[in-house]
Amino acid sequence: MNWENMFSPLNQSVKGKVNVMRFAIIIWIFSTLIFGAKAAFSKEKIIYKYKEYEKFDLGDLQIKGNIIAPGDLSVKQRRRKVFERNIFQKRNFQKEIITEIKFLR
Amino acid sequence: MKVVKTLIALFLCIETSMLFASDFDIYKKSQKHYQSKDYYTALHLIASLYKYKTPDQNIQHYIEKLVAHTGTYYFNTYNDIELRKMNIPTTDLLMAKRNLYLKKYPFALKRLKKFPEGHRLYPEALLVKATTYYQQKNFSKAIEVYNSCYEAAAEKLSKEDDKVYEYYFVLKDTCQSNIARIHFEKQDYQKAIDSYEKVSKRSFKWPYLLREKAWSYYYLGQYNRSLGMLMTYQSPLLKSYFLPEVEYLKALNYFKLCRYNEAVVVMDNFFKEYQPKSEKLRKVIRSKDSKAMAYFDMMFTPIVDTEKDHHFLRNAITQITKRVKYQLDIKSFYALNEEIYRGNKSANLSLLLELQKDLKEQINHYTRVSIYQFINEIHRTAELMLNLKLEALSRQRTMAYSSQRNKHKKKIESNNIPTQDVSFPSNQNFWQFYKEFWADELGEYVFTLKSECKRKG
Repeated sequence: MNWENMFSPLNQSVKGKVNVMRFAIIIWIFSTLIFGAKAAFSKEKIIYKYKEYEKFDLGDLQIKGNIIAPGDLSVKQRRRKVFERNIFQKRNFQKEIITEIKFLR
Repeated sequence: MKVVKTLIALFLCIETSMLFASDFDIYKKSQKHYQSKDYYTALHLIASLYKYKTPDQNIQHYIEKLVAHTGTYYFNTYNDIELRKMNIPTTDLLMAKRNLYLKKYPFALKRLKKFPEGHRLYPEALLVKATTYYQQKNFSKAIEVYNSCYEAAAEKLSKEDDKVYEYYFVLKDTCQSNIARIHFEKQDYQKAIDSYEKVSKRSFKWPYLLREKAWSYYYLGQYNRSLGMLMTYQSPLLKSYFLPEVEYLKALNYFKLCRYNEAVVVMDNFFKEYQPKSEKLRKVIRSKDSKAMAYFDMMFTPIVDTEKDHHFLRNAITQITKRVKYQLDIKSFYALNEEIYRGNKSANLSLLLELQKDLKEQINHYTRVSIYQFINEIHRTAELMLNLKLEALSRQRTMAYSSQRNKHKKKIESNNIPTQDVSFPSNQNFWQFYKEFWADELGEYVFTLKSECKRKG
């Protein structure tokens, strides 16, 4: 496209249409920028609200389905590990044999 | 040249003869002291002459004769070289004993190789020799020599007078009990029991051997017999023989019978009764430590006064006084006193007083060590007891779980555990030795408790 031809007196009607379009585009761009910036910089306050008191009636709750385990608390039995201490057992009287010689003189 | 050589030879001859003459003079002087019964002075005079040279045979016999009066105590301060120079059986025995304690077994055997059979210390030399073989784990040779020792002591017993009767009696029983101990170590428990039974009930060693015999029955699985043997210690005759290990073995027998409740009761009684007593005894002993000769003095304090201090102290002293070593030391002490107070002008009084002081210190030290060993034994047993108690409680818990698992009808209830004493069924009698008992029954008791292992396990 040639810019000189575009703005020449020969194309005045076309020029007017183009100007309007240019103006509309610029307006659109500005307005988008302004609103976008406004939206970006504005902080909206979010307030969470909880329920102050709520009552559950557990007794009233019902579970749908089939029972596949016993209801009361149970522990599976297993063999207990037995730890044995090393109990002293006299194996010789070596100490006594020597001591008795010392008791002689 | 010949003249010079002759002069030198003559000089040497004169010097040697002078030396012999001076030695002979000393020997004569010593003999004079011996005749006037100043044995320690006589021994000191002659022995100090032969510290660095070996005396001839006559002098050796003379020294042996003196030692029979003074005791071997005099040579305690001699070192090995000095003892070796003396070259007499008594010093050979002392050296052999030292080598045995130092675990120099070949040297101990070497010293006893030529020990004369007729010597008064021959049975003791055989005891040391056999023990050396025992320490070398040569059990067959040890038993052979212990048997010879037993026979030699028995032979001396028939010949000697009352003064040394106890010494040979103890020696004989020591050799016999050591044979039993070797069988025990070889895990031949029946043979061990048979050997223990050869020791007379009248022997001073018999109460100590009861415990060892009970161990043999324990290993044979005869727990009731073992418990019966240990019950003998409750007899008034054996009141002074408090052996902490006996309480442990009692608990162990109950434990093996799976009678954990009874085992725990025995152990609890031990902790309740003996631990505070041993603490108190330790305090009493510590208060005596500040005095120089407190233990020596204690041995001469009337037994009633000692018992006021502490019951265990009396037991410990009674046991010490029965030992041969103590009796020989006291004998030497009295002999020294006799020499001092006789007041012979020729007696070396300063030497006698020094020897007396030295002997006093030795007795004091020996008594102190013995009493501390007694206390330590209580503490050592307490530690063993604690371990056994934990195991008994653990077994009780395991049994309780096991009975629940097997749905046993009979529950083990916590209130089943007796709190005061072991209970017995009405058809059994636990004899407490009240009022009277038969002395010949001692050591022959047996329990009839049933093992709970099968029922509960």
